[in-house]
Amino acid sequence: MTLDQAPLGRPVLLRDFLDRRIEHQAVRLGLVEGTLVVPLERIPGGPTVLGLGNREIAVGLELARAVLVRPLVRRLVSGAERP
Amino acid sequence: MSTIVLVGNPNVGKSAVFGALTGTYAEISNFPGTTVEVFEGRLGDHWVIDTPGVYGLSGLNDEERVAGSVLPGADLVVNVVDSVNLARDLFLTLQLLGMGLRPVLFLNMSDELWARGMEIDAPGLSALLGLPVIQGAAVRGQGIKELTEGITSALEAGGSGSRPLGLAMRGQAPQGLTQAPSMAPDDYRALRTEADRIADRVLKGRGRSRPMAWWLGRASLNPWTGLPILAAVLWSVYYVLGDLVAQRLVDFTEKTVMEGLLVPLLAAGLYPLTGNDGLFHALLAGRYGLATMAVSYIFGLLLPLVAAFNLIMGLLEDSGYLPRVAVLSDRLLTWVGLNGRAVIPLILGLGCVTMATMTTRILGNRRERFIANFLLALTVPCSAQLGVMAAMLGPLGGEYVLAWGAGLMAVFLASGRMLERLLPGRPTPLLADLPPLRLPKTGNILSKAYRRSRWFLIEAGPLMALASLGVALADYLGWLARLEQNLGPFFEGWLRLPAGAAPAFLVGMLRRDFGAAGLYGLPLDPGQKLVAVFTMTLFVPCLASTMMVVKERGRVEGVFLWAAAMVTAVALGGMAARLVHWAGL
Repeated sequence: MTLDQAPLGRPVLLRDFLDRRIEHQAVRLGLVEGTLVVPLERIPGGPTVLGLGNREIAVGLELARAVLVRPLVRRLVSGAERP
Repeated sequence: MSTIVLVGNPNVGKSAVFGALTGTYAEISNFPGTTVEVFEGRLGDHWVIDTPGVYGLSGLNDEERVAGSVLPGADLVVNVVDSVNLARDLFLTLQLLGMGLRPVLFLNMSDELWARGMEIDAPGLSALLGLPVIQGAAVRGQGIKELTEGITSALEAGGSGSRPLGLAMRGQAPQGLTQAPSMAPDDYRALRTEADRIADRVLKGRGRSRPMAWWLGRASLNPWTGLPILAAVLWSVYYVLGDLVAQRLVDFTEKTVMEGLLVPLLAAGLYPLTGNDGLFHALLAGRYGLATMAVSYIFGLLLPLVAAFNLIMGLLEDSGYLPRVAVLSDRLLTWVGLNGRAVIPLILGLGCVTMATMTTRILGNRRERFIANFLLALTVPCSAQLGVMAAMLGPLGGEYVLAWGAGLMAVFLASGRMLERLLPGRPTPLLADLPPLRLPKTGNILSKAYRRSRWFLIEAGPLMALASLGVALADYLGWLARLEQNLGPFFEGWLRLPAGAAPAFLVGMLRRDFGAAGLYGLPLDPGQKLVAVFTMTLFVPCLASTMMVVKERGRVEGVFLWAAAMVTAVALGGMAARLVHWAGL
């Protein structure tokens, strides 16, 4: 599943960046493979806003389409959603 | 005498630390990219340098190159860190360490972290990194004394350049610094993991319940609540600026104070010198005179509008709301070849297009900067201009304001879309940190508005005086009449405006707001007012902002933008005249 399709409010793990151009920038913001993020809001046809810890990061549509994520089973991560 | 360089991620408060250390004014706001240039100030015997915010130091963009170019000359680096975003910011700290630098770490915005019921184990962090660590909150002046002491003792201990490691001789770029840090993805991930690990070890406490601002911030991003919030914000801005200030306040300052009181007083005072006619009278006290037109336009009309606008802009900038507008408008802006980030220069352009032109540097690449500059030059009216427009169209009723706004929006979208299709390349996707919403500090808003308004007076005052002298002289010599005679038929035929509008457009080449102010005094019917204001809004960018485009983007682009704006404005103005006639406005 790509980030632009991930359901809101459920934590997902970042799996891969299909767009290498932005990987450097993403890493600097704290987004690397294996990071746990929560998609918080989505503008239809526009960006997805991610929660990472207590930060909010906006990811444009084209970019969100190039980020592979894996939804987590909620039971497993209750408590992993650290502040 | 040593050089101290402040580096840090965007929007961590470097400029606030800079201001607190040096007492030098540096503009601060709550969005990334407020500082796009290097600023210098003094702390005792030392130079302090403020740099644009960067997430890393590999020369990935202009900010990184600028910040990177300053580092080799530093005797001491102060790494300003946002305490709330420790994990993110430590990435840069580790890169600095990797370059052989030993920065002093200033944990800024500690108050916000504490308000969340969390804290950073500063001694622990200091031990882990082997660096001096100081906590504080620069906008409140907390920790600045300790930071100054920390800087002094670090300098005594030999500074933080790579010198202690023996990599460099004085006055020579250290070897470790000539090379930017590795860009290999694996090295990056390793640094990232290390930063997260360190932050995890020193962050104590669990976050308390979400503050009110957090919920409001979320609501501003949700499409269902965010768009109504945006509409409410825009309406409030229009109400304050277009109704309260442009009509009631300007009515008082322009009509009562200027025309009723000050201008007759000045004219009477000048009477012994100028008499009732002659050149002196024309230049000083005539219709376009220095004491009459220049003084009353600048102080009665423009200054109240500019000051009010600057107050509102300050409020928006410091609240952290603008980056949220960037998220909401990303889709639309991608359609015209930009991305959401461009909303910041575009909105700042409503304050002053010249300043906004500088801010286009925060955009990802040349293509986006070109499109943004073009749209700024053509379609975005600055505060002074906006004020006069509001004063002219406001009394005619909402439908005229709406028609004007819709016309501008259509030009914005059409020309942006055209550039997006014509220019090679694609818009870079949005990827941005959203700063938290904050209650703006009155002091900062007031001082920012004061400085910007003063800047407006300094920049526009002498030009206005010169323009009014020029127009008065042209009028006295009969050139104005000849100009109206020659250009008049064109204005009457194409734009369907009276010949008297010609001088206003001529002055508009200097500054559009002066041109608009010239329109203000003309006897026009409502439809003509709409066409005149619309055409003037699109008209050539003011002299100062053209110079800024030339400085930022080169002569070719500057001249191109200027000519393109002129042609487009006149062409669309004529079409608007026909449309207005057809619609029976």
